[in-house]
Amino acid sequence: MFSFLKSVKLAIVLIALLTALIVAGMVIPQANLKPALYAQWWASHPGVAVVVQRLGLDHTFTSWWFLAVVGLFFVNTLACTVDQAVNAWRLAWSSRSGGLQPAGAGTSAGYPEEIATSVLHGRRYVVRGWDYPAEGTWVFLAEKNRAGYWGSVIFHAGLLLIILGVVYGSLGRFEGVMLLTEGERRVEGHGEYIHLEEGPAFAEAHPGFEVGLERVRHFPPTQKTPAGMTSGLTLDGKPFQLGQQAPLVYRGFRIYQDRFGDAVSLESDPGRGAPLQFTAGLLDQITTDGSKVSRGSLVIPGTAVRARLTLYADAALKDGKLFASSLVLKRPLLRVILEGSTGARLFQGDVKAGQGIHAAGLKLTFTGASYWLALRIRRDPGQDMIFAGFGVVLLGLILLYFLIPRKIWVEIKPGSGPDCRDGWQVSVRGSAPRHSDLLEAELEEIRRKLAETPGVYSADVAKGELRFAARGGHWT
Amino acid sequence: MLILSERFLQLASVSLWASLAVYVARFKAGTPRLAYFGGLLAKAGWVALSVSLLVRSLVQGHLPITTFFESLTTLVWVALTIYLYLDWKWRWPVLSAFFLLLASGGLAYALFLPQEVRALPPVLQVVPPVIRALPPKLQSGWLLLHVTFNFFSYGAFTLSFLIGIQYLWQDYQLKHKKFTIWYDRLPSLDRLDFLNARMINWGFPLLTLGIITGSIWARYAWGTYWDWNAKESWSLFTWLIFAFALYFRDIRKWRGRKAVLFTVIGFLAVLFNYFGINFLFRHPHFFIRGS
Repeated sequence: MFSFLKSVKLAIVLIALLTALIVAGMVIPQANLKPALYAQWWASHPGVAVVVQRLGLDHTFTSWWFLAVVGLFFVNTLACTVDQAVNAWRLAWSSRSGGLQPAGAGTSAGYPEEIATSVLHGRRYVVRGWDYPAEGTWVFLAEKNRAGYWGSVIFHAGLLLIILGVVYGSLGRFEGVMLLTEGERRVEGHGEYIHLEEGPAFAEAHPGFEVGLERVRHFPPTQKTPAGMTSGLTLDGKPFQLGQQAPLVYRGFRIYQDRFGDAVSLESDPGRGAPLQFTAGLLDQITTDGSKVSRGSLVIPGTAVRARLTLYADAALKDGKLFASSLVLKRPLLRVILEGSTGARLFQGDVKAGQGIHAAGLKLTFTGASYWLALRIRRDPGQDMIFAGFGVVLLGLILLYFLIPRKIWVEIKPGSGPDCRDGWQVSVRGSAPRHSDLLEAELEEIRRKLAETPGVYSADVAKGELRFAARGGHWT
Repeated sequence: MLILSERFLQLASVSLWASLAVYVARFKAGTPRLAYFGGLLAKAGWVALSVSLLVRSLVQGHLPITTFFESLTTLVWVALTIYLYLDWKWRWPVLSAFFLLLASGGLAYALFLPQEVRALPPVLQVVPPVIRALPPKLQSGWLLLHVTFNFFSYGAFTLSFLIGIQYLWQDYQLKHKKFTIWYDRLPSLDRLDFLNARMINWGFPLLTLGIITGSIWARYAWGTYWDWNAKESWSLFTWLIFAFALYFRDIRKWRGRKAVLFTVIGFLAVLFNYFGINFLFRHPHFFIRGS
């Protein structure tokens, strides 16, 4: 069972499944991520949309089967990590249990030993132990970067932490979009959001703070087409400044600016009772005749009259034609179209702030323009776990790439052949659990350094064989 | 000033095409001396491209990474920088011809993009230089790190792809005993395999860092570390391909054709992430469209 769980085959199947789900999530608009786009897509593909909804592909990344595949992938990665940890432990400590003896337990190999250990020490190797396989033959093992054996384990542990964070975050997450116009206050709660997404473990744990929007300012203030905005908020009566790179964290919830636009304040007086004042956010920003304008429609409260409104934020006349010279609210002008319940047009005209119109038996006054702001309020309990996972992954990468474990075996034996009657033969071999392509370069470098040492009679660097002889050296 | 950037870009393009022509001539004639001139022209191209990007950065007050045109020219610069490093280290004229074809093609494509896409975005044109600034969401050190890591990883993967193609071609010649002029000119299979592995070993940690820094930046800019948009999803997929490529090389000791094929597939995923996703899907990686 364990070998199945840790198998690469299972990993490949799970990754193929994940990929298929990710591609489905990319192609099909996600109801929870892009509600407007999803509504549009639903309207244009009603047949397919029903099937997609039944399969849960309209919220792929929070669907139970996506989480199930992620969960299985977690188990698979965990099994691999355990397996790698066992391997790392074995590799890191194998020299201790390999029957090697401490240095000095046998006769010293003399000069060849000295130069071999000195070259290896120079390259940060530590001699772990000695072996004496035959009479007059010495083999010693030198190692470096033993901590690097744990690189892969730590890297995988980081991935596990990230997966856990994703799942935990999905279960307990909360995300809502709340619309506010300047001067408006609301008490945070389930019913105050225009879009809401709650994980199954969130359990309606709303903080219930009071949020107010004081003002919205364009960024930069002189620019005709604003690139962004900053806003002044009050939370439970305390003032806060909200910027686009500076979200607020309040009572465990992160508050971000999402979108903003124009809102109009109107006063309607149907001639009976007190006049009614209300503010309407114009959610659509469109370009018409080269002007960027805000647009929206509403049924005037207490009547059956629909008002279609277009706001020119900074209205001016050019060649007798109305246009908006910027998106900044300076000289707002409202184009009003009133329609009856049958759709018949009752009125069309332009009004400046403070002006009113009389039509269809009511007086409608445009009292002023302001901004609306969509606040995105989030809580993701898995986020810290994910960022901790990133840190662990980075640590793993550092160990994987900068601490490459290597083992070098040096064999010293009496020389043979006519050229080396009185000398020694030194052979250097090595192993590395990864980046073995770099090991050859390392071995060549060690052999080259050894070959440059005084006393070497002949060297075959490619074969890793060095011959020391009495003639060129200072020992016999 | 912007016209200066444009002229240097054209100069860079001409230098790279000339360098390519010299390397092709060298390849046909087998004259090593020509490689020196080819290298010189490639370096001249790199200098001209650096000046072009520097001028553009100074004019608009931030790095040229906000439009497709800018990101493509910056990506060519990054890949050219990695290539020049490899050329300095390994002296490899055949890789030069392959790479320069891709780099010159990339720059030519960028130059043939419509003028309004290549010009500064209108938002920046109407603003005096002193207050020109990136949209607030793009004013972040994390973004700079995100783009830098990703571009360098893309550069490494591009070179791994080119080396991989050379490997597959050499392998094909050997297996089918069809020895063309390429057989003598291309390095040995062992050498190609080694360099292919090196490039993946460079690219993978850089891609990992790119994704992590992007995620941290997204948390500040959009309030979420992961949005499951098309770009992010495909990046994850690409990361998984290269993670497996490394796994099979290091743990399963895969070598040769199988291992190289993985990197070729990985590069195709990178290519789709860079071009395909941008054109096929709406996602928040397009900030200023430039028109």
